[in-house]
Amino acid sequence: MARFVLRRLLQSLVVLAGVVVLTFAVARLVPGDPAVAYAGPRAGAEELEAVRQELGLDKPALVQLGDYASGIVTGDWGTALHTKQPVLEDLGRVIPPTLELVGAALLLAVLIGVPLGVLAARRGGWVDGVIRVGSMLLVSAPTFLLALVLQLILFRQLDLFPVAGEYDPELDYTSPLTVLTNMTVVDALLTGNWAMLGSALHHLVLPCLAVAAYPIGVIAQMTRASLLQELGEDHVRMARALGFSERVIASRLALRPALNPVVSIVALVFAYALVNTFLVESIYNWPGLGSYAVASIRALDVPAIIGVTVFIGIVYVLANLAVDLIQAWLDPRISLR
Amino acid sequence: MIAVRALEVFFGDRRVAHVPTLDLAAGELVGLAGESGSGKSMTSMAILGLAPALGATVSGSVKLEERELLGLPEKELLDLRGRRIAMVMQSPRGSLNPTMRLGKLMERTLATHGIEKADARDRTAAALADVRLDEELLRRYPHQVSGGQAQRFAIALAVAMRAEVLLADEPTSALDVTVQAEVLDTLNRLRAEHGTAILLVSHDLAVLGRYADRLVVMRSGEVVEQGPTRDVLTAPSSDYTRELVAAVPVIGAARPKASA
Amino acid sequence: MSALPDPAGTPLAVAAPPVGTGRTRSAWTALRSNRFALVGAALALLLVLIALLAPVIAPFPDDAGSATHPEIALAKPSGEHLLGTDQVGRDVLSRVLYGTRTSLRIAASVLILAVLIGVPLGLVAGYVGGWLDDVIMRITDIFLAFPALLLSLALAAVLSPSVGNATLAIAATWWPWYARLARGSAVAIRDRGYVEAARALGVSRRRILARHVLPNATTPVLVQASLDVGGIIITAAALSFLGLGAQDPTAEWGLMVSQGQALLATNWWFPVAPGVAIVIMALAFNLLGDGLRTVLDPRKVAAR
Repeated sequence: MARFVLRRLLQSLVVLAGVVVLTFAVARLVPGDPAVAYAGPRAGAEELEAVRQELGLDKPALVQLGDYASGIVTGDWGTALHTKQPVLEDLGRVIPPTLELVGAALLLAVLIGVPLGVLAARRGGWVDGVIRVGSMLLVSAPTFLLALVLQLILFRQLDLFPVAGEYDPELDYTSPLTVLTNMTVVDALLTGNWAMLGSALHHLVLPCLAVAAYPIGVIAQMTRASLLQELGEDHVRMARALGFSERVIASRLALRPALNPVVSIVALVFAYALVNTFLVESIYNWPGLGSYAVASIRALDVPAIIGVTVFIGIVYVLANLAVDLIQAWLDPRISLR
Repeated sequence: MIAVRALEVFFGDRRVAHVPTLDLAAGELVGLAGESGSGKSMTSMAILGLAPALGATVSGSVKLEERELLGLPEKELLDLRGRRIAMVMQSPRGSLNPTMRLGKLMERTLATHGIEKADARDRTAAALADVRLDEELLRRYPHQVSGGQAQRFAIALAVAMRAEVLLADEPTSALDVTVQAEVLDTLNRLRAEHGTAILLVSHDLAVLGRYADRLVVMRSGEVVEQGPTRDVLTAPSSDYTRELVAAVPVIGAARPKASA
Repeated sequence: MSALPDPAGTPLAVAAPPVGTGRTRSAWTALRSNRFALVGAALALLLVLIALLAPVIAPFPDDAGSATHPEIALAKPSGEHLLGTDQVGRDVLSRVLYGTRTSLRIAASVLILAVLIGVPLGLVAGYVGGWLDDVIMRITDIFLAFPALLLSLALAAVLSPSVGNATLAIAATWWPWYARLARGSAVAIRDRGYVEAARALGVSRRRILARHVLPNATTPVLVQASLDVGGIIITAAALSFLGLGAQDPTAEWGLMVSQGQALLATNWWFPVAPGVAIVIMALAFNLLGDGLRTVLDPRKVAAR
């Protein structure tokens, strides 16, 4: 098992290195002069030169890459052009709210998706049909559309949920939040700020639903398919012969090996959800990574864009690694390869 | 113990097995012989009431000591399965849950049938001893044991449950010839020491000849011959049986002998 | 969105094993009995027809181009304009119908590019093996380390926004999956008896690749491609929504949604109609792809 972990870690490192290189290469394609973007259109030639030196733009490409790569490792991710702050600091500020959103969405997706898949596999008939069509629909709907539709129905028509920001801004005065993790829900819980907690949860509902939709569909489908396949296996026939009831078989004996592919899906879906928040956050004014990324893209803020891309690349690689490890833990056959 | 009468198994309109009579007495090892597709596996499935789960319909009568099994409510069937009638299947490691350690499987099976923990522990130890398996195996996963060990473990499950009837559906077909003997000898001991009634389904006449008291030969879903093993093998009354016997490879001129 | 972050669609497509191609007739009969797939196929066909016939069936074909009628901007749905008009007075219905062309064109272009690049690379990697295989697989790993949308976003951001560049950006993120698929097929087939026999007989490697390895990859690639259409058009729509893809006056669904976003309260049909169109097209190809996979995958999951 230890050897397996080590091997996967090394693989991940190689891929990470490639991620940095690729991102850098893409960033180099940006038309225009980053120095101008940084200093502003009215900067004089001298100023531009100074900025160029400061940003290291006068060095050859490979050296820039090397600098950048070592910078990433040491914690210097450059300075964002549109906020004039260090990129890493910006990221530190905007990541927690996104984590909150994506985390909640994934939790919801697993809590809803897996039971739905099991239900569809066990019941068959029209229940199965409805769940299959439903998951198909969820998988076919663009997240940004869902975000808008939810806004339309649950906010404008029914006025049930808010659509802007993480919490009611009035609470900044009446019940200000002590910021610990920068995740509003978590902080509110930790400090016992119930008013804030309520407002935060209330604000979380719509964006969370929008982001969770696709994962629910995928997870439900995958669970159903995997469980159905597992139910045809020999060990399930044996379990029946041993006197286990269908209920126990479907919900435990067959489910455990069947969850294997579902776990790997969750990692894929997590990264997918992370990127989807770009659109959802800008629609709901959620102060997270997504809004930051969209703003960076609109401003052609290259260092920020690279920072976001590398960050998500890292997250994705780690997520895949985590999934591989969890799979090996769940299915003892895997780690022995 | 088991009395099968007029058993018919259908897949839709197609009849895949027809057994007019089949009796299994305590301490008896009856061999159910035939090629693939002869309906022998479906017969054993039907006895356990597992045929519907495979999509088949069953008619006729299967009695366990005067109690009719066909048509019993699922709850009662669940109680019987594993506890009074056990099964060992063809794929040794495939029939064991890949994510469960053997010990855990044993534990859960016994617990499902309401056997208390202390009792379960004793039974497990005794069962393992019976099948000559080391207790250390309980900590392993199915893919970490050999095929022979896996089959003997499956038999141990039946022993721990004190099942009176054991349906062995091609238990050795996927095993090496040398390992086959281990498993079959285990079955034989079960019969001798615990008085278990065993239905041994196999396509291997040589194996059945050695271990079975009586033989039932099936072909294309029909029973073509039935009787004491020695009689069936030495003086078969059906052409098919004659062909099967002739097809068995023998070293020297030794005839397959029936067990006492 | 059947295909993000890895264009895996409903993820069973990930493990689709190679299948011989001589099963088309039985596949057709099986497909016919799968209701979902039929609905999907019918819908997909309908959409293709709409795309082809758009100039004929759209009530105001010029509105899909550069015509503007500011005097009737933001009109409510009426007999003349079934879905109202947009912010410069163009008929929404016509633009939605024309959007079918744009989306299908993008999907086709991306798929063709992705297959043309990915499949040969994957086949060679899988069949030849060795260091070539390692190198190609590492490269695909790196590309696949990014959720597709992200890389498309990054690429589209640095290139000037247009449908063409968006297509290139998406294709650049989509090809690795096909390389993987093709490689899987090649690996599975290279040790088969008849391929070994061909090698022993001295058949050239190129011929073996073309005659034996390639046909085996067609099925999983086909299944994956139909599952990917949904994901591709949604990615394209997302790019346009952010302003990185299609530009005005092109009739593209994502662009239309973003144009109508501000008017959600008053003219909700304006952004919602193209959105629904996206869902329908994605759903159609997802159903079709799912049906194809069930039919062509020998390890198919039993449908009840």
